[in-house]
Amino acid sequence: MLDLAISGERASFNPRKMEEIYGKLRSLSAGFDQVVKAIRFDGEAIFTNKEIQLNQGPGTRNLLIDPVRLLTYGENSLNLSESVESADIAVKYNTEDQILNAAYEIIGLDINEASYIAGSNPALELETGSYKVAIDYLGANSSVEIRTSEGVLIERQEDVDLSGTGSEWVDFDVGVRLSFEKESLFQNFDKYDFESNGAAKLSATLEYERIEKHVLRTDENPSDINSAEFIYNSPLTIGNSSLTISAPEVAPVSEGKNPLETGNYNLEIEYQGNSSVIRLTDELGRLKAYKYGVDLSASGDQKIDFGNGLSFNLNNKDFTTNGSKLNTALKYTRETPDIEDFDFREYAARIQDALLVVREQQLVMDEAKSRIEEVNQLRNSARTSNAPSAAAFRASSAMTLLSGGGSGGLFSAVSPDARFGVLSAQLFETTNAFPAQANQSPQELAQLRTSTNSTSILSSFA
Amino acid sequence: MKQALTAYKEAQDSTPEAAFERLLATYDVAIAAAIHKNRDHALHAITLLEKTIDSGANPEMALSLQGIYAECRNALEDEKWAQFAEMIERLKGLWTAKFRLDQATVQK
Repeated sequence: MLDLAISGERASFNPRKMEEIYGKLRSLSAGFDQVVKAIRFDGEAIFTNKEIQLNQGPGTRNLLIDPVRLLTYGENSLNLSESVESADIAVKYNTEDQILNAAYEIIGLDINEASYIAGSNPALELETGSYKVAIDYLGANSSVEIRTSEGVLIERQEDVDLSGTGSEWVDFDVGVRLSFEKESLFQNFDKYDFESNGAAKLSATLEYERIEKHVLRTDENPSDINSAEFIYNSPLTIGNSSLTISAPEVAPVSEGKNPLETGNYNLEIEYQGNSSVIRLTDELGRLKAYKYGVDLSASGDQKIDFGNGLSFNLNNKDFTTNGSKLNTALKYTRETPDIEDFDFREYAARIQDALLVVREQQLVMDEAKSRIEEVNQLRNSARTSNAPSAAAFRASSAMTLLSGGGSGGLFSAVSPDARFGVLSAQLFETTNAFPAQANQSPQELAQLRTSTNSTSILSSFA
Repeated sequence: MKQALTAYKEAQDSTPEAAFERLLATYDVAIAAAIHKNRDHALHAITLLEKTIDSGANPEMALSLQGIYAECRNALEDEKWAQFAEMIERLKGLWTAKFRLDQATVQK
């Protein structure tokens, strides 16, 4: 771990390498805790701040050993990690769910993910176990429930919009977020003809396991809390028609997308009917998210999800004016990834301190072992005693984890955006960027602007 | 009088701000062409952007820009309008950011 922390410090210009090293350190520190917890004497973990009294028989004093807490997390620990409450949640369709769902033949609806919502009320949190998700499908007015496996209602969310196409997230106070994927495939009805047949009752199984997420942090400040808000939000109104945006949310990040970073952004919606454009730019004007060809022509609500961790609601009330633009400012805060607050240099120093503590404990145990052996020799007994040597403080394992370990496997940082990355670096590192491109003469631009219906002008650039 | 006006206009047109505005306007034309799926107009804008790259001013950047415009052309050929529009929007955003940063530095 020490070697890794030092190599992490050296890799400070390679984010991917740093992430890799951080991940390895996290695994090793979790492994270290497992080793520490496994070192037991008489059924009790030794290195968890509990005194051990060894009765050495008549005529001798009890031997008192006071080992320190060698876990990497918690109070009076080695202070190498934190343990954060979390949960591992999965949704699946068991045989009984499949039988129930088959009765309705609903097409185009699926729960594609279930996740833990950090910061929810701990008093309501589910116990580890199996639960049922019960869905009453009624299009835009559906309901979703979490029940115990015996059918007792735990929580119900009403007016869930499961109609149309796209994603829908349902948050429960018990700390569970369900992500629905929706696709409307039929012309006559949406997924299921509930107007003729009544609600479709669907079922899924939720497996919930409480876990303690193991994180490494060197920053003493608490992490940021996820939030998104429109700072200036006024609808675009023309006559009685309007475009309104609302309910910005920190949404799940789609696979392959870069999460939006904490900051202030400008959101622009250019209304062009069924081929509208939505842009999200940072304070300098750089494009951060883009939606092309969005159909905003229909009146009503529509959820816009960039897939980068930001979603919001857009309402069209009879708006039809092509070319109009709605602009608003957004303040977005994303929970800081643990690695962003991580200081490899400080962590290496902490490991050095931890090594001293572990070595000290090794000496304490060696001393205890020597004393017991002395007593035994005095007794001239061939019997082996119930000594700590039997408990075998495997300091070597712990020491190996802390001081050893190796790194390997370099990730080559090749991203599809590499070309823009290179250009961006070139642009911002040079003082003579504009002469390389900003050379359009007024005449050329005028020609371009007037050439909408005249392709022949192209020849003048040949 | 007319000569003075022409000279004044030429001086105005040659300022960095005016050149930047024309660059943005060129990108805007390309973006509008993408929204309306006007291939000829988009090609015209790309051709102008390619033609006005000055390799002598910054050869490395010129190479990068040519590469991106080649990708834009590929996107146009394949009628990948969303991809084309996003690339142009990103270029416009980068130049806008560069201009704002330069302006801020000059003001300091």
